[in-house]
Amino acid sequence: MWVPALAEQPPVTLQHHNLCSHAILLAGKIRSNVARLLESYVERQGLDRTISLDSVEGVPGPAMEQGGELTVAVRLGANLQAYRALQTLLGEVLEEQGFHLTPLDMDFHASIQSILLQVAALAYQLEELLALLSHGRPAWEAAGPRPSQLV
Amino acid sequence: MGTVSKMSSRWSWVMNAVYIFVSICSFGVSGGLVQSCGYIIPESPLLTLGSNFTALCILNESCLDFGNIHASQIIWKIKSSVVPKEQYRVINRTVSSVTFRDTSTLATPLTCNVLADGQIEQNIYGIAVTLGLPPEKPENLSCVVRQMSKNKFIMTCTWNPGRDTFLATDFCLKSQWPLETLPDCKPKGVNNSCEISNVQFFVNLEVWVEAKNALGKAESEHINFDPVDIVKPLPPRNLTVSSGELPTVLKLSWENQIIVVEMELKFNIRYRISDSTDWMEVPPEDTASHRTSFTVQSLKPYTKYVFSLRCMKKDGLGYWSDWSKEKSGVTSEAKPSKGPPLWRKIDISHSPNSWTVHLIWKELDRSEANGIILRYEVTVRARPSLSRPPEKYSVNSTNLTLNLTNGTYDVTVTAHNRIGGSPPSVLLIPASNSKASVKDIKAYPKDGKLWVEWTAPDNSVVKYVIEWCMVSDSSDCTTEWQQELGTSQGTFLKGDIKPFKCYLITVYPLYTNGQGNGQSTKAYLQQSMPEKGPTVQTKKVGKAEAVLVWKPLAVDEQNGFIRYYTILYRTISGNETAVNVDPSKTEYTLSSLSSDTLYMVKMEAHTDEGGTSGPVFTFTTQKFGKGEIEAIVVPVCLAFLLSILLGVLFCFNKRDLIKKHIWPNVPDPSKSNIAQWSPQTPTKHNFSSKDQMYPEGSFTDVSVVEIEADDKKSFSEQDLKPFNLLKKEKNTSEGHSSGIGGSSCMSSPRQSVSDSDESESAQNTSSTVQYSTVVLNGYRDQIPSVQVFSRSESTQPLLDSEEKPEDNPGGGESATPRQQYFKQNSSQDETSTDGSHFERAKQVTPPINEEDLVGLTQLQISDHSSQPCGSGQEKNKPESALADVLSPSTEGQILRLETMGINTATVDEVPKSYMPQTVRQGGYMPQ
Repeated sequence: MWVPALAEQPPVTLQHHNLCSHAILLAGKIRSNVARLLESYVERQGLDRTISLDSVEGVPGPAMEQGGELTVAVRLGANLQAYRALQTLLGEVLEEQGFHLTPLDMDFHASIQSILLQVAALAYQLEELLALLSHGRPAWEAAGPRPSQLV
Repeated sequence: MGTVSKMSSRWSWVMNAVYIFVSICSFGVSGGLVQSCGYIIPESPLLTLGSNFTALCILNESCLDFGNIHASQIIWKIKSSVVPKEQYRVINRTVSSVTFRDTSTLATPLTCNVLADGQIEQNIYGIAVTLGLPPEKPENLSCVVRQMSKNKFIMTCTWNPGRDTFLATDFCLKSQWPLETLPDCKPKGVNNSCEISNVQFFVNLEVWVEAKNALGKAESEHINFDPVDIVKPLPPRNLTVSSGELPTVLKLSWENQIIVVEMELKFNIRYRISDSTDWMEVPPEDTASHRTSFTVQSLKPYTKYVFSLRCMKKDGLGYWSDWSKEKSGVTSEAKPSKGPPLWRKIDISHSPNSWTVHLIWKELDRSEANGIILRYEVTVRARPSLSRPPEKYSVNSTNLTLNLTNGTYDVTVTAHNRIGGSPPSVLLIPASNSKASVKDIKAYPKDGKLWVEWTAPDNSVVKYVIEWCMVSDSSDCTTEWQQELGTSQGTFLKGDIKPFKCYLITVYPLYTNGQGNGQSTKAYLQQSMPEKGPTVQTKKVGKAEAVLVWKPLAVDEQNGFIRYYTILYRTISGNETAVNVDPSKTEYTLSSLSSDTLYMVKMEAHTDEGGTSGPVFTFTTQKFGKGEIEAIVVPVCLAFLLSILLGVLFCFNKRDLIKKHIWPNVPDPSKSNIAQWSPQTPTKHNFSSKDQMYPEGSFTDVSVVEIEADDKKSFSEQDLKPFNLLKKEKNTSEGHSSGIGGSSCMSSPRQSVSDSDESESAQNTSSTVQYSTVVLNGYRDQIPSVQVFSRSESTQPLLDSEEKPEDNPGGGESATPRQQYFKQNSSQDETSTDGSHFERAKQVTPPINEEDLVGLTQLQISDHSSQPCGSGQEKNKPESALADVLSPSTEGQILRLETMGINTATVDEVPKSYMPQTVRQGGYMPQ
């Protein structure tokens, strides 16, 4: 899980500040919720609790590992790309659970759906931040393809 | 002709109507289906209330041909009411319109009708009209996110839906993120709120409400918010309270139900003493940060506190949670904060130089004890302190009794708990209460409690002690007390003060060097009517007044201060009269009452709250007043006595006349011609002496009757036998002097018992007995019906030979009446009535004439009249009279005769001849 790296250069405008603040809080909540969801997922799937999530196929590696050489915009773009990937993967998990694995476990589906929404919201906030930082460039275009739909 | 014309006209009209009806019907059926003659447009319109509306009724051409109908004949109706024709408009031959400027006057159905032939109304068509309003713009949209569990939040949005549209209106809560539209929320069963369960924090959400119906739609204002800013979290849970080392602090710990990544919280902590309802609150600034514990300070030692807390988002956005469940804790103990209130009761002991002092003190309040009081330490110091060392006592109770010699003492009491002792309470017990006392003590109810106030004395008072007790007839006055500061001049009594009970309240001022006398007053917390009224009764009832008495009500029955009594009295039919009486009295005199009248009286006792009646008592006044009876009776008696006295005086003055008429003189046989004739007649002086012996008056009633010698009716011996038997029997007879001519008034009845021997003895002793001569001759040619005995002057004793039966030639059939006659004419001078009378009677049976009998009968009547003074029992009892005659002389008679000297005179003057003389028929033979 990655946390937006906004502490280095705080925005100067109130909008920027509020946006950053919301993004930080939302990222923290996503982290908490995802951790709880992971436990629930491992339990339902019968997986080993020691499963390593450090490297998942289709998910980019953390930008923090690349040191302070990257600019804020690049790092935000990498985060956005990662959350888009997470959003896609969560959509796939939800579809897989809803249609095949646990079609009757509505609470579990709701938990996945809740995180999916939060991830989508965080992605939007990151896009907004990138838009503020990248000179009016459309955030969605800079971040790559957008998930088709939020359920 | 006119009538025929009218009949023809009506018949024509009916025929026309039938024709039109048949024409319309035949038209409708001709096509095979039922068709109407016209229709209305618009069909089933949906109209806005208050708008304009115009409807057209269009007639079919075919109907025009059959019924000769024109659009001008159309009538519009709303339900059954005809629409005014001013609203009609005939557009052409087949079309009529109606216009409504305000559809609020419309109702369904709206029908088009035709008046056929000007008379018959026929419905052509009808439509249903729907009226309503478009939705208003929803107002006051607001949302709140309620935490349902640790990870579940529900957002509830509410709004004002606006006016009733009278139509089915759909409300929809819409929300969206900047780039995403979220699913709509449709209310279920309501039209003013909706709940969204999938709430995401930290993302701004745009929310609005859309209302829509057949007449239009409306949309509320859009609101934007982050749902995390409108959260009402769940309150903290698992609150615990623990005491620390300090007696004034308690530590609280709890668990928050919302994770910190979602929001940080601030708190409100409130607490109260367990037996109080007033909450205190920890300053909010002390709990404005996120936490899970807090230490509350400045609490009272050894006190139970109850805690509760709530939370909300730290930045103040959102809503406070509900208060958490209450949790209690007790602070640690501390030393008692003050000494116990101390007082004393002093009993005068048998020894004049000593007291029995009961020291009493109150338990400390929990807030003052600061723990569990384990013991009290009492120190008693005599003044001057150098006289003897102080005495110390350690007691577990709240009293201590000491026997002290008269003097002044300082008493101190300290209370001890596990931590330590309290400051001492000091009481000075002076040798006498010589200081000034309080003034103007008053007590009265105030604010539901009993308030006592007083005026402080001039000197400075350290404190006051107020004693009180409930005054009751059934129980002792158990004294309670309390202390007040020296600056106070009034206080509420602290205790279980009961209503309707009398309390005696005493206030003592305590000084540093002495004590004042107590001043007392009485008071009620609440008064009521007396439990019952006094029982009244009369002490004395007169003709016009009655003295009423009653017992004062017992204190327990008074229920308040008795202000006055009311005496209510009335007669059965009269009005009631009321008299108020001072409560200190127990007696009252009712005056101006009617005599000999029944009165009903009752009494009421009155407090400030009312009166209660006692039982009714009835009494009757007397008919006569005091002394009235005496005033009547005494004069009557006096008059009666006076008349009797006058009568007696009259009789005394006229005694000769009375004597002449009532007791006529009976000739003395001794003075008869026979006596004078007989040569053996005793000397004249004998009769003179006899006159002396029988005084005039007592002898006048002796009758001498002339007895004919040839009278065959004389007593035979057989006749006298019963008398002899009686003589010989031991009998009981009345020993009164019933001699010839004797008055029963002059003798007192006396029972004497004697036997024949005694009688004989008396006869022997009475050697001077005068014998009667029985003269059986009729007086003045009248035949006596009774045997008559006449006194004999002879002193000669009777001989046995003279008692022979052959000497008694007369029959004895009439013996009994004669004996009665004799008795009634017997003189008091008869000194002996022994058997010699009868012996003499055997020999003499002289006849008695009727004249004598009449005279004797008069005497008998006279005797009867005098019987009340004598032995009334004897009247009409011949046997008794006979017994009198036959009874021997009693000792009393003998003694009396001896005293009178009768026999002595006789003995002296009569010759010593003891031969009995027998008077034969027609003769008298003196001896």
